[in-house]
Formats: sequence, structure tokens, C-alpha cells
Amino acid sequence: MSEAVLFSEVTKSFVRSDGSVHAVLSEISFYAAAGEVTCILGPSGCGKTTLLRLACGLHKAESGRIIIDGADSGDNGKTASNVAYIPQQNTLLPWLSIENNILEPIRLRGEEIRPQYIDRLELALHETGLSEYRRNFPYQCSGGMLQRVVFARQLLSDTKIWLLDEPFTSLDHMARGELQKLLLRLVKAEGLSILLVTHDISEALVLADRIVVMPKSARGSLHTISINEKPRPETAEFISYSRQLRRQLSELQ
Amino acid sequence: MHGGVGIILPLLILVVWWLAQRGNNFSLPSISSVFSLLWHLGATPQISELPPLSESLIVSFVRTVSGFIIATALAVPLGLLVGRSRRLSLFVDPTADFIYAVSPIAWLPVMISFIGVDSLADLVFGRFDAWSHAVIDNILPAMLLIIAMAAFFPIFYTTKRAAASVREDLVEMAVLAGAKRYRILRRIIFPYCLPEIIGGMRIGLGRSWMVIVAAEMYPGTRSGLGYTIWVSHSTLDYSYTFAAIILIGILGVIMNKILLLLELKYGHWEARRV
Repeated sequence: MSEAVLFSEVTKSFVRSDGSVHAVLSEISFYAAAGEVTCILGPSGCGKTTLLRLACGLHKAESGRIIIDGADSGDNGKTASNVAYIPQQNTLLPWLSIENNILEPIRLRGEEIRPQYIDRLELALHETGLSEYRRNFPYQCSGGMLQRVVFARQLLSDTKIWLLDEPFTSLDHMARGELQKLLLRLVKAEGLSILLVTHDISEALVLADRIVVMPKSARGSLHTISINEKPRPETAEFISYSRQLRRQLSELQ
Repeated sequence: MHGGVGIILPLLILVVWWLAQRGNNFSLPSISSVFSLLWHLGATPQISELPPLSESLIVSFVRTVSGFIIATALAVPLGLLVGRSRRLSLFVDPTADFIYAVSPIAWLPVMISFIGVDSLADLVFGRFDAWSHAVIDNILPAMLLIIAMAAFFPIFYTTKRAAASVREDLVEMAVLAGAKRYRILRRIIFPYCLPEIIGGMRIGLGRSWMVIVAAEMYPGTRSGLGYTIWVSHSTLDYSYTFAAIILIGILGVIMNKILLLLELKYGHWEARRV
């Protein structure tokens, strides 16, 4: 299986306002396989968001290589066009209706809305269960619905590699479960590769094919656990997995 | 409570006015004389220096709106540009703050000494034919610049502040979608700022409407509501003063309401933003 995202000895630090250097990532290596859901599990402040921003080109790494879908993205200094970055706070435009939000990236690229895009819009609305809310504005939507719109918008682009930053953290329990199911369904239907960061062990267990453990001030190659068969929540297997992950996170700290 | 209660205070004022006038106040005009002037807006006044109220109304309105349009056309692009660039902001801010700190009225003589008192009609039709174009013969570029100046700053500052506060994650989203700079400006930054821009325009229009009345009291003016107040006051015919004040108030309220409606139309998403 090929890699969707590959980090090889990537280092990134930021200069604080007082001039001191804060190392966020030190020679980090890991990969996310194509067609799989890979979860990066770590406490807040361990550099998970930085990692995603490096992968989509919003940050530049100081050293190391980042390979996206087989192509080196590190050197050209441009943002990567073959990955979708979905930040924690939704980036829907509040002045546009749901359907116009979904079409907006096409207009931002400077393209006309051709009939084929309308067909894909209908499909995406259907797949995400938003058809009847298409004329709503974001301020009229719940958090779960907004996340669906974000997914629908992404479905209209051809990017198959999605980078998600804690996408379900701000949702209530019910909405979270539904959205997780929706994401897994989309992964299968659209052949997506997912790199998702979370601090929630049970979320990682529900979603992931592989879990990459990222403790605070991680260094070098990140430890990875393959989940061959997803454990059902609250089974003995699920609990033993989460014990194992919790131990690793604290040991590596 | 019903919106109709807003009529109570004006009625009370009318009662006070009526009582005061019955008390034989010499300089206070009667209600009926003032409303008769408002009813016959186009009538030629007995005071020879005064044009009909209708002409003054149009002249003041055209002056204000043209100055306001000039101001908007300059302030919005400049505000967006300066708001998005820290360096430009450092370059422009001290000068802008200084000009803003001085009342536009105080700048009027400065403007006149820079560009003279030729009217638009003088410039377009030549001095000999200028008098036959009543409205534009009463519009001086110097005065337009003052009006524009009065409206410019509220629009410029609100646009600038809005542009500087555009959510960075929305801009990043556009960059990742492959948008060029121009499209980011047009599709993200401008719509994000639009409700605040219209709010600034509303304040700007109000400011220029106030400034025009004061500016029209300058010597050399021959028409306008401010001019009407000045002349009628100095000839002790206060009915024109009152009529002009009422017209200024009504038109000011209408202009404010129109922009308020625009603000609600384009800012519906912001009013309900959580």
C-alpha cells in the first residue's frame, strides 16, 4: 500500500515574540497509508495542528521531507493542491447560503459554475443529508450541520487526501457519533485517505485503521498501532486498546 | 410597545411651540407660517437673496450626495488596502489622524485658497453661461472636497478596521482553494467588511449632511438650506429658518434610514453571528 502522507525527519520551530525559539516538531517521521484513516493521537499543545499545516503547505518545514501522494511538497514553497485541510473551526463564509458555500471554492479558483458542478452539488448535498437545508445560512445551522457542509464542500474538489484537525471536538455526543459514521461512509464511497488529529482516545479507536501516538515534545519516529479490526465501543478489546494507548502516551511523555 | 408612540414627542414640541408663540414672542414664527412655506416649497421668497426652498433643498442634497460618492469611491478601496498592509498603515496613519482631528469646516478656507471659488458650472460651461445652470453653478469644487472629507474618514476608518480584522482562516481557506489575490479581496475580504463599510457610510453621510449646512454659511454661497438659515436669521424672518431646519432633519432621517436598510440587507449574517 502506498503512502498518502509521509513525513520524514521533519523539524519545525517557531520564534516567540520575545525572540526565543520554540521547537514544536523535532525530526518527526510517520506516514498515513492511502485509503485508510490514520489518527494522530496526542495531548493538546503537542504540535498536531502544526503537523497538518505543514502537510498542506501553510507552514514550511525547516528540515526533513514531506511527501504528499508521492510528490515532494516541501521545496516549492507553495500550498499543496492535492490535500484538503479542514481546520478545527469551520471556514464557511457566513454571508453565503449552504449551497453557495459548497460551490465557493470553484468560484474562488475563478471557474464558472458549469452544469457538471451542479450535478456534483446535488450529489454532495444528498450524501451529507443537507438537501433540504441548502438555502440556509451558516448562522441558522447547528455545529453538526456546519461540519456536514464542510465535508460536502470538500466532496466537490477532487482531493482525496483530507487532513482534519479535531473535527468533532466541539460537537455534542449524538452529533459526534453521526458525523463519525458519515466520515467513515465517505472514506469508503469516495476512496478517501484521512489524516485526522485528535486528543480523544475513544474517537481514535472508533475511526482509525492506524493510530500514531504523538506525546508532548515528541522526537524521531512516531510509534504506530495498527487496528486490524475496529473494536466495538465498550467491549473488552476496546478497553484494552485504550489502556494500551493511555500508557504509551504517558510513558513517552 | 407600538412604533406609533414616536409621534408623541414631536406633537408635544408643537404644543410648546404654539404656547410660546401665543405668549407673543416676537421672533418666533407661527406654526402655520412655517408649514405654509413647507407646503409651497417652490414659491419665490420675499427676501430677495433667497432662492425657493425647493432649489435650496436640491442644491444641498446634490452637494452632499456628490461629495459622499467621491468619499466612498476613495475611502473603501483605500481602507481595504491600508487595512491589509501594516506598512501602508504606518505610512498613512499620522497624516490621516491629523486631518481627521480638524473639523472639515476649518478646512474650507484652506481649500478655497488652494483651488479658488469657481463653481462646477464655471468650469464646465465657462463663466458667462454659468449663471443659467442654477444647481451646478452653486456647487463649488472646494465645498465638494470638504463634504467628501467629512464623509471620507468614518468610511475609511471603519473599512480599514474591518479589513484588518478579517478572519485569517477564511483567507487561508481561499489560498488553499487556489484563489489569486484579487479574488481573495473580492470574494473574502470585501464581503467580510461590507456590513461595516455600510455602517461607516451611514456615519459618513450623516457627517457630511451636518457639514454642508455649516459650509453653506460661508460667504460666496447663494443657495442651500444652510444658506437659507443664515440669510433668514440675519433678516429676522425666522419662518424660513424653521422651515429649513425641518427639511434638513427630515432628509437626514430619510438618508440614514436608507443606509440602515442596506446595512441590514448586507449584514444579516453579521447581526446574528454567534
